[in-house]
Amino acid sequence: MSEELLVQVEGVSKKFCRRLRHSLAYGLIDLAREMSARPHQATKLRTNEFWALQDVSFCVRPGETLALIGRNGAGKSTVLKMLNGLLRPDTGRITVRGRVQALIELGAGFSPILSARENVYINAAVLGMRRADVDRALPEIIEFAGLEDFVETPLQSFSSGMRARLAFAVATQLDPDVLLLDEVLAVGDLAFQEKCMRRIEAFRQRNKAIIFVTHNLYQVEAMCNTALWLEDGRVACYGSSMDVIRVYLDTQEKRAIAEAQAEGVGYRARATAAERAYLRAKDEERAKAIEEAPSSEPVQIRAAEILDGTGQPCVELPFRSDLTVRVQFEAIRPVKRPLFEVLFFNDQREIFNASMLIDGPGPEQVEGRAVVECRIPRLPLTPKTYRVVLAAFQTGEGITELMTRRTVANFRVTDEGLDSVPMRGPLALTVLRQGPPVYVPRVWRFYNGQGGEPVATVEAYFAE
Amino acid sequence: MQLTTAVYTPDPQLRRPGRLVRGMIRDLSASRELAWRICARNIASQYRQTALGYVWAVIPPLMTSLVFILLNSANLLRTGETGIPYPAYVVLGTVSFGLFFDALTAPLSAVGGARGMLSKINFPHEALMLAAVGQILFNFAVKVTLVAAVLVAFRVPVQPTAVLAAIPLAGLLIAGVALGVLLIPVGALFQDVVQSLAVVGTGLMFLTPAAYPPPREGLLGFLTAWNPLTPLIMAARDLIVLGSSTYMTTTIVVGAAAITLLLLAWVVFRLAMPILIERMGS
Repeated sequence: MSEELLVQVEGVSKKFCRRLRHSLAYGLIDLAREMSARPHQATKLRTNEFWALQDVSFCVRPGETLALIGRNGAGKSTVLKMLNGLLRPDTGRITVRGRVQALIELGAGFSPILSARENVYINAAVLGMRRADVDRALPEIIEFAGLEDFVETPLQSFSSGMRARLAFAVATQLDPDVLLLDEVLAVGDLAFQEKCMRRIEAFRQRNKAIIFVTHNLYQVEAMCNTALWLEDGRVACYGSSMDVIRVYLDTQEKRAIAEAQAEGVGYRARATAAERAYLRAKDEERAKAIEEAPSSEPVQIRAAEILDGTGQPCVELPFRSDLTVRVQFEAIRPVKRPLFEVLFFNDQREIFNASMLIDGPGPEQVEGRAVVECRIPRLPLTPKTYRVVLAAFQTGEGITELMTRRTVANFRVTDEGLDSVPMRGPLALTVLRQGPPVYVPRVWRFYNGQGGEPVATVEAYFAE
Repeated sequence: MQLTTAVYTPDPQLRRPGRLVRGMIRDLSASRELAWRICARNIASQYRQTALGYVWAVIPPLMTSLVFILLNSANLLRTGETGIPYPAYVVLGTVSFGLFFDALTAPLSAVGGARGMLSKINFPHEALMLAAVGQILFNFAVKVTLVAAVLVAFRVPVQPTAVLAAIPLAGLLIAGVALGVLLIPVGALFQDVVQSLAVVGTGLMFLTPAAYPPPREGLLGFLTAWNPLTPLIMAARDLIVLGSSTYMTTTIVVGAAAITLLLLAWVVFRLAMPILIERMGS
């Protein structure tokens, strides 16, 4: 292995068994094989086995932080266990240089009836610490965990958060070269998480390698240089954390849209099952309302589509591209001076509208089939999914609605073109993707004292 | 600074015997501190939630002995000539056999009890075995007070050769641990092994001259003569109360065999643990 690497994983696969009985029998077979010392190829699956990991390769350099992301059961924890030598690969090779410390589950080996102090000594010994070192580190451990008043208390009267704090405090007293973290930061309150983050950051600055499993993309972007996305035991994407987050979010969103379509509802970002059920009920209500009164409405929509900058119909378009909403409708009776309104929604919130109630009315009279287009140059919406709602009015004696307002189209803004935004901040991509939906250019200026010349300026214009 | 490198591959460990042996020695020395901690924890938690505390260590051999003493006093048991008062004879025998039996069951229950730790932390597993031995020795020390009390009560003088009894007793311990470790590969996967141990224990005790002198003839005579535990139990008792034993040679032979078996068991343990951890879960 190259001297610059701390961790190297080459073509590693691991199989697991679905059934306990088979698993135990395979255990005996594997034991016999191990005793016979015959090399074997574990490339074939036996009955009820499946690949928990397949052909996974990556490497980690000193000072590098690698995030493992993916759904539950994708194989993230299996990777950590293999790096820690708890599981042997079925194929491939893992090389780890230096001392490894794994926080796979905090407080393994804790005994509930012993005191916090006694448990610190046991836990530290399990993790390979000497007694003299523990003696020295004990006050700091207790202080870091914030458990000064509970040193002699048996662990059974601790809350799970207190136990986790104690365990994290012990584990990070060691000075490993490679630190493996398995979602341990999900426990504890915010202040404690903050403390943990600082400690992890200090590790990184000392040129250690960190590999950690998380579901929090903010953490990935803020703390990790590289990321590995596992999907059903295979590497779906591996590279710089920004690139991986990009691909990951894209795929997640596409999948959610597909699922929403399969369920027959418009996609709302991060909608829960309950929300979706509610929306479906509302959709049905609306569909019924339209069905009941189709003939009574003077304007009826025949078709609607989104066109991209080149005039092609699309469901996805790049960031800041021109967008056209094109609606074919039929005026059942002559309509004088119609006013259309296009409303853009994200996540049930109205973002903005393009309204002829502001801009002024259309032609003097419309009758029969017709088309209305609304073109918006350089749409300032960030990468997300949006819903387009159409409303139509008529002026005369007052303003009357010509049709029930309704969703006419969904579209998605992609990451393409996002590089025209100067992304110099630490969470640029994640905030753009997961934050609010409108991006506007801006300039920041800092002054000393009361004013005068700015001491610092941060410009965030679009790069043309 | 030169960093140590760990390599994990699917290759069987026996393909590289040198690395295997180096790993065994390294882990044994690395596990002392941890073994001490685990041992202290287990002993503390074993007795902390009890009202009678350490008394529980002597209750099982006491009960067994009482049963034999009752049977003997009712003449239901023809034990033959024991040389010393029967209660002393029985207590010595059951405590010695208990040492072997504790050693036999301890490795498997140590692995079972540490499931959670095994599947989450990589630590030298030898520590579990060392801690188990420590716990056995602690409990044995408590039982020795029972033996001493009985010997005093029945005015049985202790011979200077009692010091030498450490040899056959060590033999019992080593033989028990070796066999116990060999049970781990199958026992950690299938609970049947643990279930059967209690049954085997009772049976084995009757085939061992713990509560009676070895019969000279019959099936039992044949079985006790070939039972490798016989010389160890007999030698331990003889050395404590008689001052000499006719079983010394066989004790040395069995002891040497037990040591060899222990080394073999250790290798099996090393080979088996990674596979078991994967299958055991937590």
